[in-house]
Amino acid sequence: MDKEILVALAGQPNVGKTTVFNLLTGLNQHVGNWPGKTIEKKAGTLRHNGTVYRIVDLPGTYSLTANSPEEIIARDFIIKERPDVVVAIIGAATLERNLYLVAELLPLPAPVVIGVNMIDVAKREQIHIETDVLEAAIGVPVVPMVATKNQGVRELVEAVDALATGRRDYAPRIPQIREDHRDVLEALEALIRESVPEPYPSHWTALKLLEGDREMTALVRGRLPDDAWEQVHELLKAHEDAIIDIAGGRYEWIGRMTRAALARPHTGPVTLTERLDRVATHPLWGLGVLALALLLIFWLTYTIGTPLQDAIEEHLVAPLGDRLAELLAGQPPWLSGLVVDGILTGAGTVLTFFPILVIFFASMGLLEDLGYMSRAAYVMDRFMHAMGLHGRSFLPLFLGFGCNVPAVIGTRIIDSRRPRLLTILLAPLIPCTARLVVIAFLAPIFFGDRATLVAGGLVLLNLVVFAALGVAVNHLVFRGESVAFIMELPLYHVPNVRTIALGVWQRTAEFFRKAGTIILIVSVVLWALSSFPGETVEESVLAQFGRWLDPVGQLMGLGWRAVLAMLTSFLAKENTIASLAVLYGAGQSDLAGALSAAITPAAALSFLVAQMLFVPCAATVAVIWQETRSWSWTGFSVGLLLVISISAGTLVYQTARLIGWGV
Amino acid sequence: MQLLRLIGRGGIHRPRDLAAELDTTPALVEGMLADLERMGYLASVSDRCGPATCAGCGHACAGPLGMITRGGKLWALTARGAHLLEPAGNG
Repeated sequence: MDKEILVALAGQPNVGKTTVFNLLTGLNQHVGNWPGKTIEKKAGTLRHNGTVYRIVDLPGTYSLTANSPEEIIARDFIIKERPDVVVAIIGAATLERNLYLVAELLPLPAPVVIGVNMIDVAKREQIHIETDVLEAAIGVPVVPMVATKNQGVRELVEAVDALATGRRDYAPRIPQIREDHRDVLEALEALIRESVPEPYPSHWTALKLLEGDREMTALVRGRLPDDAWEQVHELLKAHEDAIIDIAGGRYEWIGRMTRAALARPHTGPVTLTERLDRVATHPLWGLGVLALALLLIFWLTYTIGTPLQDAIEEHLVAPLGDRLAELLAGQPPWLSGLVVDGILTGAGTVLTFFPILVIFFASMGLLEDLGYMSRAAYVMDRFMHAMGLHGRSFLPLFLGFGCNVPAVIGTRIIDSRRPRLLTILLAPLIPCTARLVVIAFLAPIFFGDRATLVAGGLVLLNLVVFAALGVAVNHLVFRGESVAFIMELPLYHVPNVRTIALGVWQRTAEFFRKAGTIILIVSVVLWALSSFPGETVEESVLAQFGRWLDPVGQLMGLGWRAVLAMLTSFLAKENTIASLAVLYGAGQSDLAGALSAAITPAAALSFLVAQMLFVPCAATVAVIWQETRSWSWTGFSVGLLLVISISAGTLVYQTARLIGWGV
Repeated sequence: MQLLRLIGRGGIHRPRDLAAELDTTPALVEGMLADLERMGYLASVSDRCGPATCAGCGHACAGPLGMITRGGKLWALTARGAHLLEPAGNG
């Protein structure tokens, strides 16, 4: 009668295990399901030198902890069926990664043969593996293979046979748990040893309990007396972190095993992405690139956008206003006022933003499609770290440069509540596109040629306030809680014009939707309140309300109109422009003159500073409440920013007054 | 595990930086990250992002973090991971 050897074929996914199985069994295989599971079971036979090898293809698994049915099937088969040999197929190019499963197979009661497959792939990647050195290090047979070319299969079968028949010694070096938890493992094993059912090894079972393996925990729990379980439970509770030391022990083992056997190329071919990243993610140059990108966007806006904006005002909005005024000449004055001074001056002025918006959105879309945004987030994160904002991630907040709403929503990736609340609190301090557009519009009006520098300075100021508030709250409230991310930076792409154009279209369309609703309504309401009951704005209902704001405005050198315009930005940031136009009774081109005449440079700077730091828009406030479900936190967030913005505006104006600049 | 403690310092980490600090290869670090994800100490963020989370956002994104990650993988430290690091005093 032929000798029979039971072989289990194990391996992580994508290592060529199925190819090896097919080569070994050929047509002598049958496919079914594992008992009680819908997972495919493949088994087959190989006859070689008078021996029948029964080969079972175990499901591909990354580990043997009960995280998935496949992992339970694989380990249960090895423990309960006790194969004569387990063949672990590992990928040569992913050797270290794949050895993790081997580290878990070795403590099980079945000898292991390792098949290092896809040696050719590794060679192509200039990875050199000394399989005999690896064999000596691990203490189990290691066979180099290229299964797709039928290389190494015969040697694998011979190694299996030698091990199964005892012609070869088996002395594996089994990974050990790190020293920190070795005593705990021993204590645990002593507690459960008498209750662990056959055929589970007690040491392995104790290890699995420490790993938090639900299946083994339930098994032991059902067999232990209550008092003994209580001790086990206490031990496990006190050493929840043991799993880390167990995995750490396995990785240390992998490091030791491969140290002499594996040689990777020290310097691979340097890709374009790597070359660019040397600058783009450099702690210093990376910040320079980011600052340059921001300044370039502002410069493009002022160089191309502002003249175009003037042209739209001059050739479209102004003539339209004149034409409408002519058409409505015979109508009641309030109707002409509503259409020309309310709707056209307010919402119409905002519509002249169009070129600025296109440049902004196209620039952001270009950086996004290029793959630069992840680098910018990474560099900013390191900058924040350097500024003392340790343990906070800039990642979700970086979304705030587009819009604060997704930044707040993006904090969902932070699991812990308190760090998440802090991140939400900081989110509105990231200048969103709408705020940047307002600055892009107003900075040239107030500061002419120096607009780019002023705009850049305002963005920097926001980030400094952001960091200062973050550090303060971090120290006072959220000490010791970290938010961390690991991010694979994507490859740089050649930007796709269609993708960028689509993004510009979607974002611009959304802006026009806002202009046609919120901004239009606010413009009309402001016009109505500023037109009745008196003949002039000063006699209006709005003026009576606005004068209550005078004390606050005076601190910042501003009149009530400017403060009121800032207040309307609560509904949408762009409302500031429409409100200034309505309240100063001017279209865009006149607005420049009207504002320059009414607001001194010092007050203008104070206004822009306060505007940048002002409370978030209503949509952001709504989403803050939605995400925190806390009225008090939402109120605190709004109140805090209100105080910060007024304080900063006041500080700027009063300092300017003290040094005698621009007053 | 040393890797988790490095991550626990907070902020954004790249696998290659972590590999350099641990004196190992990015491939092995990626394996460790996958293990930490399976253990529940890290979460793959891409699973939680999608157009649904953009509701209310006027600025079209492929998902809140899609504009930043552009298909690159992203893991976040979970509350469980942060809790595990607390006794070590990281933060």
